[in-house]
Amino acid sequence: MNHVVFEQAEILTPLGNCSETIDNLFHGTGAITEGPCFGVPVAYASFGDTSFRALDLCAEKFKHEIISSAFVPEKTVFIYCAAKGDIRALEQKECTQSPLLDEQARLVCDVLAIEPKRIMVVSNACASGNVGIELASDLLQSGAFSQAILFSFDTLSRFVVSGFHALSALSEAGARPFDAERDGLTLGDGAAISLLSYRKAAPGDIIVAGCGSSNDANHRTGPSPTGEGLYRAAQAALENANMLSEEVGAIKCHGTATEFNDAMEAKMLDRLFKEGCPPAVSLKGAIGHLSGSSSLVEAALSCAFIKKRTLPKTFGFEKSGVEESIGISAQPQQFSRPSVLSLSAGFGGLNSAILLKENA
Amino acid sequence: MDTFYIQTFAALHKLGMFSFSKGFVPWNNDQSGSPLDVLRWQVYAQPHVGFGKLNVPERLAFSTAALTLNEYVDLDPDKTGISLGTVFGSISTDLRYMESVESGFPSPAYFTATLPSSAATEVAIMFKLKGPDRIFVGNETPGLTALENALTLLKLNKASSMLVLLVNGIDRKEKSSPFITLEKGMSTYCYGLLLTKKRSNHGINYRIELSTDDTTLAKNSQQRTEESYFFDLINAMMKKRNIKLTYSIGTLGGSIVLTKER
Amino acid sequence: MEQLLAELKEKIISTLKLTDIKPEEIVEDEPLIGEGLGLDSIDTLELLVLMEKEYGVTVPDINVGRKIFASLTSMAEYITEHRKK
Repeated sequence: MNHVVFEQAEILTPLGNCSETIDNLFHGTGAITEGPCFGVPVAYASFGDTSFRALDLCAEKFKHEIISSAFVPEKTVFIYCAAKGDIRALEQKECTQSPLLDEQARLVCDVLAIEPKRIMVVSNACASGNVGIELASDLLQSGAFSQAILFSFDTLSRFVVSGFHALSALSEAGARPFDAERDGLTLGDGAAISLLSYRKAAPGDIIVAGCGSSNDANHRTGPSPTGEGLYRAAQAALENANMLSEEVGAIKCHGTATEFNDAMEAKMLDRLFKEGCPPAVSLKGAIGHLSGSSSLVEAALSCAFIKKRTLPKTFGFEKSGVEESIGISAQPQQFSRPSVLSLSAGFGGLNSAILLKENA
Repeated sequence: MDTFYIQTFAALHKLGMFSFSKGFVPWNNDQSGSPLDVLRWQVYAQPHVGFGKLNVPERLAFSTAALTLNEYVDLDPDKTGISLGTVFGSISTDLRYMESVESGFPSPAYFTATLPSSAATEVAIMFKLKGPDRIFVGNETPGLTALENALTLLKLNKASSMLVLLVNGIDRKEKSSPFITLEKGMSTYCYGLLLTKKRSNHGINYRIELSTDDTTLAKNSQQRTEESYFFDLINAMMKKRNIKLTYSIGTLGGSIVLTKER
Repeated sequence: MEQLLAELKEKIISTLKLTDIKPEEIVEDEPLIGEGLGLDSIDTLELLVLMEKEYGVTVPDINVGRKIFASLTSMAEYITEHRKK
């Protein structure tokens, strides 16, 4: 039987590339720094080298990381997953990079020097990465393509920072997911590329075991207070993977550190894991919320957590600020079943859940 | 083999509004002949306090969704998703929002609408559609990609019905923006199709088959726009005819067959 | 006060683009947010921007904002007391 195999991934976060980010996470080094950020008095998490906020330079960096010899362009779909992508042109008169996502997707293919059979642009707000993974899985299973390259990119800009600030959503001191003192999210720079294929998985391969998504149908920015929508997405991912909740090894939460997100996520996790929550983590106190690129970045990191059978600590978390007990810890946590449920929730009530698993 | 059905449809077109429930309704004399001028009462009977706040793609998508879903009683909103193809995403609102940033007063309302997905999520919120949503932007064939994706989600039983929307619209003041390619920016339209896997006693039960086939790619002949194919589909259903379309846009080619079931 | 109330009705309708509502339909002593006008949290934030931009009134935080928007009258009173333009 064939599986959707998560073949390779490379990421760029405020903590570096994939291996650097993992090292930093497990050594307790976070990336959130004090503001101001674009003149706004809030904390932020920046790429070490901000020149990578230019889409072409970022794609260039990934050029040699991912395209393996197994790459078959005529059977490949390229999926660009972003909420806003590169929008410098909206802010800087001298920047000529188009703010339109489809033109950005084409630019990335040009820089990577690939000619895929199809280019698609998926833009499901902050859940874009997860929805891109689900879309790729569906396409691969339907037989339309044998490989999918996902590319996700969303970086800090005056546009996005002032917007979240206008919504009173940003923390001055830095995101503290699920903590009693949490007071908002922290934005960061992020990018990721990954290659998925459809083949017989070998033992040790990471597979996309199941995916599910839903809409809250509730509000433009606020999550459903009960977590109903994210619960349904997670339930759909479990059903899609033919797994029970007690078979999940660990949870990579959305965990933005806003009052409402974390409260609703704790509610839905408590309801989903009736027998008690497995170890859980939010990465947004360490690398920030990478908006549209967050879920592809966090999926790539989740693959590494499965390999290590360990979650890093939740940066910024000291004392629980949610009513339910949900497996978040200020220490790294080991887990035994080799799977991670990765959750994402975006503006407009867009929820998506991905279940990643090591093939036995 | 799985079968899929179109149950209802609607379109906002330069000529007027087409829908299964209301037939063809031309624009009023005081409307300029553009879907941008669509009024709330023309598509939706109840007052809707948020209608005026909707940006161009949101307003077109909401209006088309309202016309599509109007009087269709066989909908399970919990299991209905939206597959949206949007040509320009939220570019007009992006520019309006950036103006507010430069004025020193960033607008929260504009910011929340600076997402290509907002045209789909406003529809989801208004009609309580809680199924999976997918938002495809630009790349010549967002509508066909959205249609193809909706069929895949139905095939995989991830939804019991899918609302497919294809929207193209920008503010009038952006027609000369350097970001907008003239040809695409000139036309404003929105198409809506409600797809199901099961037959319905309340819909039109047009069987739809979509296939991709590279051999249909037009080599040198003049290529048609995506909109023209959507118009042909709506036109055939308005006239209760069957249709077989061979499409070829950029690198995407194939066929769409609509067959009215008795 | 009467003049400010009338001005605010116009400004709220134009800022929030409440095309389905006429100025006379805004009842001065009813809550602005929630059921009556169907305004939500984003509208609350947008009204705070309006107060700052048009009258130079800054509100310390959104919780104070919620009290101010208890009615059009309370909004007008707050502006009268704190306005800089």
